[in-house]
Amino acid sequence: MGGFLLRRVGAALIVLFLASVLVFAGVRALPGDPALALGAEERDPAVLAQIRHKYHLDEPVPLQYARWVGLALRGDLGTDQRELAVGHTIVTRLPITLELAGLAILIGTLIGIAAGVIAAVRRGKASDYGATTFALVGLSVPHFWLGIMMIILFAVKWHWLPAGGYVPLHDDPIQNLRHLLMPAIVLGTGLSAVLMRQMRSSMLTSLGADYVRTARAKGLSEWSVVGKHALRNSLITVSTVIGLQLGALISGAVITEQIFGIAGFGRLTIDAVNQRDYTLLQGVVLVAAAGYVVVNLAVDLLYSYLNPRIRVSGRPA
Amino acid sequence: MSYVDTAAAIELSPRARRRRLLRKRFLRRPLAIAGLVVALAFVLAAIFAPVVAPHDPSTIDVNALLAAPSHEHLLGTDELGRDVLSRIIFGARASIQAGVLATLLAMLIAVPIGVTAGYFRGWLDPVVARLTDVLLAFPFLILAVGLAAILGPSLLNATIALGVGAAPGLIRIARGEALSLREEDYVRAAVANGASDASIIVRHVLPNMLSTLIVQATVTIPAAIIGEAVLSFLGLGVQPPTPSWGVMLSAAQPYVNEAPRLALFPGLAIFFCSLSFNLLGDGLRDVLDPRTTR
Repeated sequence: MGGFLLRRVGAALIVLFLASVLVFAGVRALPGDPALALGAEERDPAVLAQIRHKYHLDEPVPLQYARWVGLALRGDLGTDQRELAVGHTIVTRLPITLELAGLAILIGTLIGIAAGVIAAVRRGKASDYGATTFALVGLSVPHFWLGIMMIILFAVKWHWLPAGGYVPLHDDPIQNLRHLLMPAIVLGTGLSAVLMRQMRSSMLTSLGADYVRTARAKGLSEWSVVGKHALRNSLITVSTVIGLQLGALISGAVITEQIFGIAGFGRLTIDAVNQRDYTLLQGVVLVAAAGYVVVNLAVDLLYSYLNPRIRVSGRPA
Repeated sequence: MSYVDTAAAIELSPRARRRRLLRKRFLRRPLAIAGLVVALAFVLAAIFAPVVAPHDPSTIDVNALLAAPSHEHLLGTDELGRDVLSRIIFGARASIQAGVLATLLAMLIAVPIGVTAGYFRGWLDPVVARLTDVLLAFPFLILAVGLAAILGPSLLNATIALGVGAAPGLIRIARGEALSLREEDYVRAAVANGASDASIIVRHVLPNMLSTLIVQATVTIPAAIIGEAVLSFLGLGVQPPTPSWGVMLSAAQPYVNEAPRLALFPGLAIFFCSLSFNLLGDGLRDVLDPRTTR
């Protein structure tokens, strides 16, 4: 286990290092001279040189990278165009997105698992076709459009829910939930569709396995066979799917927050792009990539804990 | 009678026999056929847009702003009095172009890299595997948004961004296929016969991963179509006044109260277009991969 752990953490660290190099290089590849942008109307070469010196833009690129990473490791991601600390901005925006993503995962997992199990147990029946169709629709529907349609129906037409915005949880829990319900459903739809398909196929495999036949032969109730034996084994795959879907979830949060006017992490990304705020963009993308790597590492370790065979062979079957 | 049939079957080459079997399997799947028909309809609408569209997509009619659907304008008009149906038909051009070209670009990047890494292994393989891990750490949309920001907003740049964004996942798949195919008996036989690596890759590895690649292409196309709509919606893709489904959705947002249909129709177009390719992809997977056949 120790060797496995070390290998996995080592690989994650390498990925993180290369990702940070890529982010740094990517931002350097953006068009426009940052000194010109910082100097606003100033075109005097002496002043520009001074600006370059102040922001260390005159140093060799590897040194600039080392300085940036060194500060980033201490939580300092620099200051954006409005002279605000990027690290602080991210820390204030991130919890909003985490709450949204958490709710979306909750909704997506509940619907996905339930639909997948029902489809597998009632295979070939109407409920199977219903669930399978739901998954296909969930995979094909553009989520930002689904969001716009929900706003039109539930906010503009029927006035059931607010069309957008965000109320902090500690201010008013009920309003907080009312504001996040539609965005979380929009964000959770894709996840539930992917999970449903995965659950259905892995439940079908489980239900055909020998241990399920044994459980049935022992005279266990159908409820206990499905719930205790087949479902438990299928849940292992669910953890991996959620890890793999995290990227889609972050992408989805970007556009969902844009539609619902939620000032979270995703909205911050789009703002950074639109305002050409490269320090901010650099910080946001780095944090997104780091989060993805860390969560997937956690999923990997959890998976190997649940399924000991992987620890021995060193890679997923 | 059956004797004659068998004789006819024997005369067919193995390849033709397989093709006939695959066609028979495909024709037994009504959903896959429906997907193929609708996807083809979208492609044809994109190609022949000037012929099919009832109006010019950019003709402004100040006398018919936000007009309701009528005989003259089947889906009504937008805030500038332009015909919505014609704009959706012309919008298919941007979507199909982005979907197909981005997928093609992703394949052109991914297949050579993935096959080289998986087939030759050596030091290259772990390097490629790590690099794809790195690229996969960036969520697809963040990668595409970042690239579109670097390259500047246009349909071509959005297509490039989507293609590059989709490549890492495909590299992983191509590498995995090449890894398993190189262990096949027929590859060993070819090696024993003195075949060169290049001829083994061209004659054995690539043809045998073709079905996987086709299925991957049919699921990458709808992802890229939605991606184009998202980028255009965010102002990072097609620029107005060129019609595109994402641009139309973005323009419809201020009018959700007076004319919600402006947001409804372009979204339905994206939905049916992406659904048709997904249905086709599901059908092809069932047909080409006997393991998943029920």
